[in-house]
Amino acid sequence: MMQLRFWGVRSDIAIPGRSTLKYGGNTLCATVIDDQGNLCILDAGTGLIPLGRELVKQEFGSGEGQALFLISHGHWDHTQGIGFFTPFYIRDNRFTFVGAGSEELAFYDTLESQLSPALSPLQSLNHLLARLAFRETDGQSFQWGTLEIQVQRLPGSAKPGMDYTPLGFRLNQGERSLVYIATIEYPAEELPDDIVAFAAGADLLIHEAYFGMYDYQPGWGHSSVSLAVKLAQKARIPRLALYHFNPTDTDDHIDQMVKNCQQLANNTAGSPLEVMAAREGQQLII
Amino acid sequence: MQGDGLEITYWGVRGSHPSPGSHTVKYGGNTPCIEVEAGHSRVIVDAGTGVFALGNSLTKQPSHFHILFSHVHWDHVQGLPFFAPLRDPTVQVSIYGTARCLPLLRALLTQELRGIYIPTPLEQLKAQLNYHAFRIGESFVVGELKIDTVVLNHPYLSVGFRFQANGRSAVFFSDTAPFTDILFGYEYRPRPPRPDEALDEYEKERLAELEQAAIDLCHQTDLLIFDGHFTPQEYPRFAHFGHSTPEHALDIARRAQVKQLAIFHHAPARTDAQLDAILAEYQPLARQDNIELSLAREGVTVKL
Repeated sequence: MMQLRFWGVRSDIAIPGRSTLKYGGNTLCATVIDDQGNLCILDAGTGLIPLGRELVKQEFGSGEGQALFLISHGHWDHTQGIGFFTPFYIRDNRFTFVGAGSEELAFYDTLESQLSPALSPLQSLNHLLARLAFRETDGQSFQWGTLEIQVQRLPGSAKPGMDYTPLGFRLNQGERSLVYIATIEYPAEELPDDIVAFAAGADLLIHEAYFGMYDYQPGWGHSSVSLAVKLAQKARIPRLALYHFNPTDTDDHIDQMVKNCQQLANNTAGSPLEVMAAREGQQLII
Repeated sequence: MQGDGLEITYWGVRGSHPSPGSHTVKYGGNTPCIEVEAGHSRVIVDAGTGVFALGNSLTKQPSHFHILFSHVHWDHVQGLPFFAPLRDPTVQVSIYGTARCLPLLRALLTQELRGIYIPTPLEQLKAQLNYHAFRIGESFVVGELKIDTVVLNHPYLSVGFRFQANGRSAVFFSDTAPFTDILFGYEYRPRPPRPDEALDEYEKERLAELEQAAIDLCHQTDLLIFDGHFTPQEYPRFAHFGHSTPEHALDIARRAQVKQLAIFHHAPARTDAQLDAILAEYQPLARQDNIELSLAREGVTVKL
């Protein structure tokens, strides 16, 4: 059994205010806890900050916490909570980060350079009191507590200057599994076989929903939400949680997108699919 | 804008990081961004997440934007790449900052950093950009607005701005520590002072100079917008963070004989109810000195 919780579901930039109260305005962050209490944190956008405030009420408050961070890539909507995560400021908490770098920067440097003195009063990851370890993924699966974690390199924007490779993660515990695809742009709007195989048979697909069905723009590094539906169906996944919403999407817009996707799924021959939108604070048992 | 005064609009008033949620709906959860208007002249100061809403709100867009930066800590720049007018090839955007900040702003908007940090492709950025460096202490003019600058007491330096037009003035001191406990003003201090470590004479003299220059700049201004991030109870634990309390703000406002004081850069976790309580506590104190005190609130326009 895995406990999943969403802490931030927004892409690009945090959006406070009334228009995002239902689904939340924080940038990307989700947690999975296995049945032995091992904590895995998926991405570290501003949603990480309220998570930190909760965690210090438990063992992280006394320097006895440990967690795994899985970072899908270094764009700041996936990382901007790091400097404000209170468990990092308590000695002896332990964290392992797993992610990928770019052609120019190692994984560690993508995070470290966002905390330079000009940009952040923190100035360096070295100033954090907790123990942090950084591992550049080799693409191999590994174990965290009772979770088996598989890593998949995903296609991103093909545009010049967009030098990054997003990662997808699959978390397996016994017969249960969830797939996390926070950022992807499918080449030629086709589903690559390796990604279908990676997601095959999971219980839940968490998938980006930056573009709706009709406003896809090539080169932005994101995909039409209809491909999320297609992937879920082709990989025989019964539940799809839309995630990573465009910052201009209001709660009403997201409600409508869920309806459209559900309709698309219902109208398509294939395995039955339940579509929902990831909501800040929402918990699911997988 | 109507008339010939000076108008300030708050688009983001929150410090450190944006704070979405039901607890910030009243005062707003966006990071710093204000708009200053006089007649047909307008500048935007800082581009925290508040600038995103500003960029999307413009129904009749001007063809030339002027954006001033107090400094480039994330909460003051994180909205810039998402400012919609930057995608319009007919728009000109002038960026103003100190020489040490401009390369970073330029990199955020034009160079390799985009692919690594910012999730939108470079080619979407079609506006014509130009960059203007100013030295702190220098004055310059944007249309009808006369702008003066002063150095504040903040890590990596923060700039304070005074805006003057039509016989009115407003001062923006968004990020500053009080001028008592630590010297950040010209150099970064690698660590906070120990509790038993007193400031030396040099540091005290430098701080007194910084403070005097800051007070001189806001002398008798119509509106002083000042960092009130911490409460006095919180402050001793965070004296080295480069931010002040409403008490520090009120002290400067009194000594500079300002007419209105707006507390700015609210702590991200501060709820609307807590901010209401802060207002209720400090408003009567300010009134004793004939200062009209408010808390900066997203969406509000102050007409001077």
